[in-house]
Amino acid sequence: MRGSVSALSIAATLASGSAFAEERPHPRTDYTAYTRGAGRASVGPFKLEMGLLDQVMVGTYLPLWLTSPVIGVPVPNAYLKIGQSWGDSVAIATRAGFTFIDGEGVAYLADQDTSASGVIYAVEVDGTVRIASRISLSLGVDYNHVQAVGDTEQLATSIEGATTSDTWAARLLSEWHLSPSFAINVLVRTLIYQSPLNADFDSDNEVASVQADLSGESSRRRRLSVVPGLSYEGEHWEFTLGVGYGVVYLPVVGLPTTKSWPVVDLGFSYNFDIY
Amino acid sequence: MSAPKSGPRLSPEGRSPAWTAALACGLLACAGEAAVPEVDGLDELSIEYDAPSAELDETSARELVDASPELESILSGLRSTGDVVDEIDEATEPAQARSNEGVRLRGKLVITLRCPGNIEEPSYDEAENGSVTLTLGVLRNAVRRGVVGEANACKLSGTVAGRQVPVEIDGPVLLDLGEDFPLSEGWSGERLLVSLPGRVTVGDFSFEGVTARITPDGVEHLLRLGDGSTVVVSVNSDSVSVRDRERTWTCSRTGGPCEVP
Repeated sequence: MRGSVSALSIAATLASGSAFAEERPHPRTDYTAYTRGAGRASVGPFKLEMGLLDQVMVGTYLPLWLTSPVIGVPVPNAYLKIGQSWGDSVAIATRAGFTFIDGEGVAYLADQDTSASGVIYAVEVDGTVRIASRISLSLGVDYNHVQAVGDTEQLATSIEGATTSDTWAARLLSEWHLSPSFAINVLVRTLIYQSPLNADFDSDNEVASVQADLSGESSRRRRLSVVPGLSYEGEHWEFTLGVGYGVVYLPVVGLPTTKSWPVVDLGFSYNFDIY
Repeated sequence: MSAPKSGPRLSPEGRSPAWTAALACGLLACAGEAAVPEVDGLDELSIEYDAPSAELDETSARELVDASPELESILSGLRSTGDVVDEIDEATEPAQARSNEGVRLRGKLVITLRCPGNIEEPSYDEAENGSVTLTLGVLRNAVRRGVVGEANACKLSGTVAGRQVPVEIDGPVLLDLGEDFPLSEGWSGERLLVSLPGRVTVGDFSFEGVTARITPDGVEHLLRLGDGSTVVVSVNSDSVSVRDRERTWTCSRTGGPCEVP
């Protein structure tokens, strides 16, 4: 009984604003409405980010630039995030990005001959509210669109593990800050809408030729993922790790898989001020 | 960056099918749901095969067989049609490869089957031996049983009285595959209802508007009599079976009264 009372007291203290009112100088920027401050840079194995102004941040996914040895071409990509915060309690932001995949890379990934290139557009809107000194909620809506550029006469057609061109998804990140730098969090993502996939193909052999006019859609309309995790946002180092289960949202593309898998959410970077 | 590290399995080539899917989707300029052709099965014809309406006796059954010397030719031609249609299963394999439990496919498959000509020396040259084009509907990963198509001077060969004879099919083709079948399982081929409103030529005989029900047990043909009633006939090596409203008559091909076994 005494142990229970103690645990409740600690929990109440941790959640209480009176016991913990420090500002968080370097709040998490992914899945939230926060941006990096002006002149603040972040370098990690997954992405490079920099705050141009307090309200404007740019970034790029580093691994995609390094894909030449694998798929033959680099994959240029960039994103811009613009946000506005009111103190440390409320923030809103919008983010837009693109990724371009040259036809050579598409042909490799799709295992088909094609001269079409691919462009992926990603847009998100985020809002973050600090509902208590230690607890904040970030609600976001993502839109992702993939489309071809160029000659589409010969096209890739496999849709195993299918995703679609237009995807709307929503997410909620709940953070419980145990200290200004350390937080426990839960990320919940759900699919709102996914457009059907065009799965046309032609095939031919000695006996028969087939022209298929097909579309595919996920057999599961409700697709959810839940990823509890930890995050650390220090003066120079930033680290996030979450392990959960559900559909996997492909990095950059943002498209969900049709099946559920174990999900690992990992981030790691070194941050410093340039100006 | 928060990068999910686990995810879809790799394809045999070592490439992520999810990546492939995402890119393929974009390159295919995703354009909404594909339309599924509305083709009904041949329900009314199937009922007629199940329940012929004529009522025969041993004399009228004999007269019917004697008056229809072309029956074996008709059935041979229709059996050959079934042999061509059997290729549907192989032709749908590419679509089978695209379906899985996580994806529901819909739309249509337009299959052009090239006809072999002489089956003993097949030549799948469309210009020489013609073709049959079939349109199959696909809904929820299943091929719908109703199929429409067109035969374009499709040349085959059939067997009449133990010898090969040329068969040619021309004109519309309507098929009932028996039941909708999952793409992942393929067509069993156990039951096929064929309606050929066009022309079928078997050797020296030519027919229009013939139908057949083809099963592993044999080929049945619905014969419409002068009074509008129907019987179902099938031909064996030494006899002709005639199924009327209540009985099945077995008539020797060499003559004599028909009998009910």
